[in-house]
Amino acid sequence: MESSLSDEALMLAAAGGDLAAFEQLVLRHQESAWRTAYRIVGCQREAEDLAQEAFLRVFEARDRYRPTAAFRTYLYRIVVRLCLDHLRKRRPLATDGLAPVDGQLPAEQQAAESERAQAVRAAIGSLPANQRTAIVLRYYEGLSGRETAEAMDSSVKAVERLLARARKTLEVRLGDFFPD
Amino acid sequence: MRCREAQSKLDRFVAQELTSAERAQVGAHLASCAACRRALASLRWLQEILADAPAPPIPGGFADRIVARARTQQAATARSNRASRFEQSAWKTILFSAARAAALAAGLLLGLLMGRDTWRASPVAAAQQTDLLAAAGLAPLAEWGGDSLAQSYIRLTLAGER
Repeated sequence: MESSLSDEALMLAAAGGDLAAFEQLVLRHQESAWRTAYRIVGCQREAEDLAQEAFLRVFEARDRYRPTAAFRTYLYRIVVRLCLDHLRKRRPLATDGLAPVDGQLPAEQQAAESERAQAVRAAIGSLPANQRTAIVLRYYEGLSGRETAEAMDSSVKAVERLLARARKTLEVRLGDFFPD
Repeated sequence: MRCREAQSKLDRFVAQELTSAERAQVGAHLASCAACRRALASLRWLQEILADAPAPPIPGGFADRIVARARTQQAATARSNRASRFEQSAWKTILFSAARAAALAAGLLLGLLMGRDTWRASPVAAAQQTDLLAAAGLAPLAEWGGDSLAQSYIRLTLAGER
């Protein structure tokens, strides 16, 4: 059953041994954690492992958790750190195949969407890991500049610069889709 | 404001996260710079196509697997805590017993030493030695002819009872 408690209250309940409270947190945030990991590492299997690991780190640290920042930002920071550590250790990004597209679109539009989705994924995948992470948090997940900086253990100005560089690269690589 | 600085702030300009002073500066720059206006249009277009890019659906049973692992971890921690508490308690018992035995041994040793010294210092005691042991039914000890601490202690104790 969906709880009306805040994330931070659920986390404090989990620290007191309430596993159901932790389950509520997982249900609330599983999609954003999974999507973020997937878009940073580009592989579904690895993303699942990393997102799961992030939640287990949260669980392990439940006794030490202090609600000084939003739980959402706290979770993103753990996901980001795990993903960036993982990318540093592994071979260059190997992205999965195309994600499924909306089946309700007409075939012609579906094909066009698919081509654009593929191009977007390739362009994002070609960015340096920290620029890609900034793009994912800011534009996909909709975090504010400050939240993005907190999730990346960085400053707002540094994130601004990362985003500006990433946008320049993406504009060049996705130029064919830019409306004249 | 230079183009580079203005373009780095476009993102927060669009999201309305700038202070009013910063917003006014960026706005003034945009009004006079075609390149930055194009960068702004490009940013909006980019946000749009990124928002449309799909992500694969979350794997089935994702949350269940996490909660199952958390439950296992919680149970393991509880077992470990219980084992740790038991171990601490066992060590406490052992240490307490050892300390008590050591204290008793030290007391006995001290008593024996003091008894021997007192015995040797007493000329009467030497004469009574055999009689005392015989009276206590420990005559064989007197025949050993030794001067062990145990003998001295027993003699002293019996003398005290008399």
